[in-house]
Amino acid sequence: MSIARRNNVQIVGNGPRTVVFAHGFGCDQAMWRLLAPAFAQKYRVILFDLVGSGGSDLTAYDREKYASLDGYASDLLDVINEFSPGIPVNFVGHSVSAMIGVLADIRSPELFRAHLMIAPSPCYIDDGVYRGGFSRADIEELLNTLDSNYLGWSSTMAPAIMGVPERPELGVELTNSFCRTDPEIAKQFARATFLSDHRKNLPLVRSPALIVQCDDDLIAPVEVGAYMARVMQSATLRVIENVGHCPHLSATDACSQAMIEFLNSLDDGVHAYG
Amino acid sequence: MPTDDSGLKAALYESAACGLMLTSPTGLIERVNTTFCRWTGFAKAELEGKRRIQDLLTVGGRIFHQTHWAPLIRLQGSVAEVKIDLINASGRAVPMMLNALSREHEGSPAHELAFFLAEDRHKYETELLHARQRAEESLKAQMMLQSELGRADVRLKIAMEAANLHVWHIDVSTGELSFDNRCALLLGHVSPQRVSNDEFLRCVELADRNELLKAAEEATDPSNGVYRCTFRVNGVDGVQRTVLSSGRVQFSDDGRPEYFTGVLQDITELHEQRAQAESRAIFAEQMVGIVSHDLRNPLQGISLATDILSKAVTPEKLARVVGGMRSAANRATRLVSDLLDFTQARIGRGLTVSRKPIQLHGVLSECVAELTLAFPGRELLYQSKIDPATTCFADADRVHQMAGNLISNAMTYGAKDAPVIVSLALAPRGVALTVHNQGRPIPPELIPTLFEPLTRGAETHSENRSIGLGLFIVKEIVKAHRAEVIVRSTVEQGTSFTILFPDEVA
Repeated sequence: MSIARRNNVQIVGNGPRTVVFAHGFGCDQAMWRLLAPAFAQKYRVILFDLVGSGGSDLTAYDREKYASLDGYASDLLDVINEFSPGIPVNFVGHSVSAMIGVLADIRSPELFRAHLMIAPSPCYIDDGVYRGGFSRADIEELLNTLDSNYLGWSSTMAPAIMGVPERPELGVELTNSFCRTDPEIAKQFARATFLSDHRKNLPLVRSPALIVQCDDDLIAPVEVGAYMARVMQSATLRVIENVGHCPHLSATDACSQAMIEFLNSLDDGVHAYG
Repeated sequence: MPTDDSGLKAALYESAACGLMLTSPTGLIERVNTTFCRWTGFAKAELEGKRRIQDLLTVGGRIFHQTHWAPLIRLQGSVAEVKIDLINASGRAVPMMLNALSREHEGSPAHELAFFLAEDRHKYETELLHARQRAEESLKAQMMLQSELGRADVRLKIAMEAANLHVWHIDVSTGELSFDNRCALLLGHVSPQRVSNDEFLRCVELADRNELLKAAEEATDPSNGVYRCTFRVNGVDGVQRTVLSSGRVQFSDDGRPEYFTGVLQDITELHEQRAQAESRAIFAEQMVGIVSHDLRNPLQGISLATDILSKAVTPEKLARVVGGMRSAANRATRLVSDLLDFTQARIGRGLTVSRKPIQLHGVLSECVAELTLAFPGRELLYQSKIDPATTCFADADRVHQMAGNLISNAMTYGAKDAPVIVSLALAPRGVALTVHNQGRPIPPELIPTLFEPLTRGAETHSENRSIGLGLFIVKEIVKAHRAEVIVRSTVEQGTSFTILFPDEVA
């Protein structure tokens, strides 16, 4: 199976340097719809879906492989090797994908020029002095939510059961489809994401990193960004004003400005330490 | 009527059949209708300007909101049919369906939310979920059973192959017999293949077919239930095999046969071994019987003679008595040496033969003279048509023994009133020794097994009969000399045994 098909790889824009965008838990590459065009003017932009999400090949979903983020990291390395051979990429990872980038970088650092981490978190569960934002019970509740709300998360069940095959006033595009996942896959991905703890991997990354931290984010609280900036070798922390976990959607300008400044500083050979 | 109209709108909004809410893009509740407050138990003042919609969600719901619903409304401008749990004023989770729109209000973006109670749908979903879980569990159990069954099947197959057993099954409703493919091996096929009922029956030896079917009929009698039958199968490879078929019938509670199945086993080798063992045992018993009987006669003769001798008799009578004693002692000696030779030949070492150039004429003259004495009152003629100095490469004692056995047989089975003729003649590639007698010929059916041990002529009451080892020993001696033996027996010509000694120097 081709990697392009497996990960639904899309390439836009042109430029001597490449930016790879990886979406987080819940949606797919459509998440970058508001942000990516700005980058496509200056960079070659690679977008893709994690296996199990969006337009990826669901038959490639292997419960064992994707039980941890390592399976996703392998796929990311495949995508970079295939579509940016020999040219290290600027990797933009939202949420859990920022950690997938960290794992991939530790395995093949030569493939990465820099990491741009949007609302990342190495560990969602509080642990001693570390504040991840959730207790273990919270995460258990989330996993239960996935169980009890499985119709709502399913890609095919809800419309049939509700007897509403179409909603003309919402139009064709508005089918919630891009955030819908096979409930079993969603559950396993949630497990792999929210139960993971990759704090010990952070100091191993040598590439420069930008952490885009929202000032009001339930999923990745401010303390998490500060923690990451402290333990990573070469990280810049930018806190932007935003309520929620998706600044690339709700604070697109601030988000892209922070990213472009960071990339420009790399291009100029200047790296500002945060 | 604008005032009425706005009153209607206000009433529609406040008491709509769904909960309505207006929030800022970050989720802060700006307006909420009465229906929503009634459903959730909050006062308007507790919500408007005070709480964000996220605050009313469970933790799982908040993550769902952040990862799904919020991005959707940003990108699509609306979401539909999202199911969430809202925490009501008393802390209980109330399942609701949510539709939301993003729209400008007085120049600033806002989210309009409509909530519908979804308790029934929630119950339905929960039931569906449980049904699915149960289905998955039973599927899993089923799969485990199946794989266990598969493993048991493989184990059984290996065991069957190891034991060389082949399974058959009779469909009790149709009577149709089916076989596992390895049964084909019993029919002489080189590899397993499908064997039909008809093909199988065709291969069964005709004489055994009825028994086969009868046994099956008997087995289906509820008082029986056991099938056991041995039959012969003529394989397509031309080999006949002996097959043991053993099966069982399982009956239903009301006594009807439900299952009828069993195994076939190739017992050809076993069968042959058993037949061989049986015939050896019979042979040994018979031999003991004959030997004891036959030894008793000469010994009784000797014993009687010693009685007479002890009573001082006339010289003529003495000569006769001594002659009788010698003859009896010779018979006993021959019998004992035959037994010894037979045992040696039988346990595989063969007869000991020491060949050297001898004059057959001399050996036979001596032998004929001796046997003339042993069969008083019978005529024994000896005719030699060869040069007395002719030598032959042979064991003199064995030739003597062989001729003795043949003459003894001729005396026993031949006509009492005609002479037994021993002759020596030149043959195309050596010398021929023939012993001939008149009388009833050997029955043709006896000819093929004539030289096997314990094959005996019809008249077994003669005093001079042997234990049936004579010709077996002749055959062994012939074999050891690389000679040949030819039997001719007809009413007109009488019976002759001819030994062809080859011209051989060393």
